[in-house]
Amino acid sequence: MVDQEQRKLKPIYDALDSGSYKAAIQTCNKLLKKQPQHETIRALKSLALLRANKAEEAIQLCDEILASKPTDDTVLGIMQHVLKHLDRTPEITAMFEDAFKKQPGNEELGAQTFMSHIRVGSWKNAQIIALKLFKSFKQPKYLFWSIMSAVLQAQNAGGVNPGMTDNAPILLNLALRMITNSPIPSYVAPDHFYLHLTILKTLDKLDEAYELIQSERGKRLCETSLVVDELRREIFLAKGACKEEAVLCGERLSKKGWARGELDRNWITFLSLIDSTFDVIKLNESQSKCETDSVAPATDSEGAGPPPSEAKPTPTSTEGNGEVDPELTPKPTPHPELPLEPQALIDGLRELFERLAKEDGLKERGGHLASLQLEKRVRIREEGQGKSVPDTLLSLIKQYFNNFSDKTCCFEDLKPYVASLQEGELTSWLGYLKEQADARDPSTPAGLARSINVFKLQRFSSTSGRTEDDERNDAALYLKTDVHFNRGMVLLGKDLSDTDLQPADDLAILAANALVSAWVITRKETYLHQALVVLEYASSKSKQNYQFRVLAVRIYRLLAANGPALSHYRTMDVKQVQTDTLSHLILSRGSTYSLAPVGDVGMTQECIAASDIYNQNSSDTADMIIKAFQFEKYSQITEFVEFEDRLDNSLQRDLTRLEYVRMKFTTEKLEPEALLLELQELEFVLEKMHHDNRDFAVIPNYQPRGQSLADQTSMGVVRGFQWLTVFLQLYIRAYARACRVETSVASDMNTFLSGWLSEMTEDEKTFLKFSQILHEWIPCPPLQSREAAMAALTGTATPSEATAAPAQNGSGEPAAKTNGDQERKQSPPPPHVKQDGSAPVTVEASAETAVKYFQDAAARAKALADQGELLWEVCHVATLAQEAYILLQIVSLPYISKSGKSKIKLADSGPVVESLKAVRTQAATHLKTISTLLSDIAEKEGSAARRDEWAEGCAALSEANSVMHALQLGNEFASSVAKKTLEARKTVCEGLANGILKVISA
Amino acid sequence: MSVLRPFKADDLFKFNNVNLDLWTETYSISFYLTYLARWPDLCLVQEAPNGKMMGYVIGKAEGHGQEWHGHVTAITVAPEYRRLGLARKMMDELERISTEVYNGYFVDLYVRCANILAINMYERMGYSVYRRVAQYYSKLPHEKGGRDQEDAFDMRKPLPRDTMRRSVRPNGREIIISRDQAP
Repeated sequence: MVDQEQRKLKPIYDALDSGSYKAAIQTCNKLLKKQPQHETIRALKSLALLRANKAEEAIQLCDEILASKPTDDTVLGIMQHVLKHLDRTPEITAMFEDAFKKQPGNEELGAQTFMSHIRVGSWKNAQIIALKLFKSFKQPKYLFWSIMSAVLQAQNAGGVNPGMTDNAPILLNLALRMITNSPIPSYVAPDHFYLHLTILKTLDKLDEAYELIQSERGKRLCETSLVVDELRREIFLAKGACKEEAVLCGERLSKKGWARGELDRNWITFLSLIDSTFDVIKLNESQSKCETDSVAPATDSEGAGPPPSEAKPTPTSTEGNGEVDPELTPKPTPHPELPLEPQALIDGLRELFERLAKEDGLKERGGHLASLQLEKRVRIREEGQGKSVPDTLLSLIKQYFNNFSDKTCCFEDLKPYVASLQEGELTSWLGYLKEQADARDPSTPAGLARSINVFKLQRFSSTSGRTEDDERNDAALYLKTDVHFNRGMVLLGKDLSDTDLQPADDLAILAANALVSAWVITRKETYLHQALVVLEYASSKSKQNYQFRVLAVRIYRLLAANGPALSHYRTMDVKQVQTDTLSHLILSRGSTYSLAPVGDVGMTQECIAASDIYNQNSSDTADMIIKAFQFEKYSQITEFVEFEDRLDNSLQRDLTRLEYVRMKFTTEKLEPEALLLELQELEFVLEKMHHDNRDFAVIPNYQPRGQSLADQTSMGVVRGFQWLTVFLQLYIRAYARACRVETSVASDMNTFLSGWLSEMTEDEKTFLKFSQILHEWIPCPPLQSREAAMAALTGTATPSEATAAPAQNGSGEPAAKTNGDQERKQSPPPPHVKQDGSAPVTVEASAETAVKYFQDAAARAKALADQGELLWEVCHVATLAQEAYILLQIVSLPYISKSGKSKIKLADSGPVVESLKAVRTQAATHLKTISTLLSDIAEKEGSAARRDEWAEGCAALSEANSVMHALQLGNEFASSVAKKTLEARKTVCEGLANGILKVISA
Repeated sequence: MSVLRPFKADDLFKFNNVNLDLWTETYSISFYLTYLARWPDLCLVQEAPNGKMMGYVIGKAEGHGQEWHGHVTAITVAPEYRRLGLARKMMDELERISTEVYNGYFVDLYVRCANILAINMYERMGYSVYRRVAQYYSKLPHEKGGRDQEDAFDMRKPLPRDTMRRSVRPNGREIIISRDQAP
């Protein structure tokens, strides 16, 4: 019977699998003729219809099937697909709920219902179903599902405001009761145990948690599971069990043959040993202070002992107002293996680390580095006590350098310790490095590694006041070393394969850092050109080094050579989740280089490509959360939910979304219908709590302390939450005007003008002011309700409805003043945005000031170009002016829309329309000026003379210290880089120039 | 010297410096989370003291009967942290978990036959070639291709439970199976 059924359905499945949806539909129809009520076939047909893009039919059939409340597994599975496709995920839950209600004895249906709740993050329902399942089918797994769901509910995991909810204690206590009374103890598996400890820790029942950990099974689980051990450490520290932690870490480091391999050399163990030892010291001291305070108040003649609030809280201090009864206070019972005296404790650690360093030799850096970490802590402590600082740290740094300077990681290892040296010590340290630099022979791999570490440490340790010459000489030195080394390698016959990283790669990165510094100091653009020559050269020698490409992308973008930037970025093959963390490299203010109006959609495509991961996240990550439930990996579930949330509410996601909007409007016709949908989307985005997942650490930084290459090479100040909020509100406000609906967004941009602008460039601030001018100058059209607007959109409104709303204010009146309703609905600034409280900036709004914006923009673009500022800035002004023109069109839509449906007729709108048209015409004139300026630049950039000038700029420095000289490169290579850069600049300027013309003529 | 800790879902936001290396592939979200949802204890990260990721290993436990074993799906170390013994530390931990938690007979891994450096390293760690899997890998974009490029060695290291040392055989290199026969 089953076989027969399967045979019947097989052709449908086959057709679906092979993408022949039409054939699938036909087969379904044929079979349905015989059995019109066959549920599986009907479900398959709705799926096939959906895939064949026949949404309406699919939806109709889908609704019919759902109305019949199916219970069959297969049907439910297919319908789940259909609903997911239709973006009706919440109905999946209802469907399973209904099915399970009809067949409460069906375990599989129950489990499916549970999963469907998990999928949509409805933890409360999941908890209830899981408990029901446990009661009916007695499987402990269901009980743990219920417990986990209660924990997620308490954490409000994945909710709008994640964090403990008000009823968290009730939920967690319930979870605790369930886990304590579970038919299987939590120690059966690490993940069950982890869940148990999490509940106790969150409830602050640290003693109980501690007891569990110290049980035989608990100890064993800590030894075998890293996750459990992590949580154990957190609980120890929360409980103030620093002595126990210190003893445990000490044992793990010194005892051979403990569970985790032979010897524990996990850096976390070293760190924890040091941290907990200092906690013990603090505890001992505050304890003895407590005792002194409480037994000796009489000796204080003034009777003014320290106020109770100053007494440091310790885990053993009693409650009350500072009076401590020595009898009631449990005396700290020093662990038998730990001395009480701070000095003895510190010396103990010193000895231990020295011994480990000796035993392990140079194969293992842990003991050596731990000595440094310890001295750093000692230094902080002694500085706090006003003691003079011992010089042990510096000598240990030197010793470490001596031991490990042939390893690439030496620089990174030493950074935090060098950073805590004092001025005088730094001078001595720099002197030492100088000696080292002179003594090293960089022609061998080990010697080269040492030289590179010296260079990196010298840059990092150097103080302020570096000059152009310093940087230029350094760049040359690094490159000479490169040449020296590479010649050595050839002599040694050790030519490396070009797919390997080259040992000298970091020299090019160092040189690029120095050259960028020289540019920062002098603003001479030629240093950026030289940096590019170095990076391109290095990239041609070491093809796999992504760091060259990352740096090149940033410098090319500063120079408005977007083509080579894109091509390096694409060669890095950024994909999957990396697009979230790395697309900022190419998309930050990406609209500056969008040539969409002239048909080059490279940048818009990058936006689309970078956004795909978010769809993947929404469709796949929930399945993974379900998987973690199925395999009972409770330690992972919260992490997965947080991951999903971080990606879903990624800052970069919405920065890209806005950037895409800004690019799109340069080519798409403005329609109020589309804007209304987009308005709702942007309002939704504005409500989100964003996460910044962007990776700036991939930008290699070898600048002096306190400087960041990422900041130095950023095209405009780095954007963040504030930038996003301001631009979102700007567009929401404009869209709302265009669609004639209300919005809760602040109608007064002064809120922003008074202190939200730290992430905006000067020109973006001007653009924002322009938006305020528009808002105040153009009278607010009569508004309609959202419902009416939506109805008009879907075509169900009668024309009279759309025009029925009476004009609320006479034309010419500033809208914000009369529209009291709207003003009251101003939203307060989102909580994550700080205001600096400076005085609000006011704008004078009139047709003249609107025109003046464009006039000023044209003048500014010209001034920037004349002053020889970076070309990106000129492009930035130009594209913002273009955006302003589009914004003007958006806001004017109610008055001059050509689309019949939403056009309004206002009795006295005549003057407004006239004035809008006049501004537009004048704005277009100024934009034409900008376009001409860009065309002129493009022509100049394309000339042979310009290329010679560029290459000569590099060659002009090709005397004693020059980069080109050091690289032993002829002018040819520089010339080729110049050609590539200039051509790309030409393309950008030409494209923007023609794009502007297209936009204003549209 | 590094922090050895569990691989966590949000490490996907942190692994760029490791994954931008040509030899390390970046897979879909589901790939990583599937492993974490099932074998979180076989997925580990090595982290530098400053929080930078140095490398990671992703593994699983599979097989029936005497084939029950730990498998290394991916192991990678960022270029700047190579030759510090990090791979060995991660393998040690994975072998330990395969023994103590999963009670497997052996740990195995696949490696391109042409990757002599890696093969030597695994041999130093106690692995030996158990068999050769024909045409296991696709051609690398930068290489010429050929049998050694596309074939894989299945290398195994016996765990204490494999008292008979069935996972070691001297003529492993000569035993060739097709891709379909490999698990």
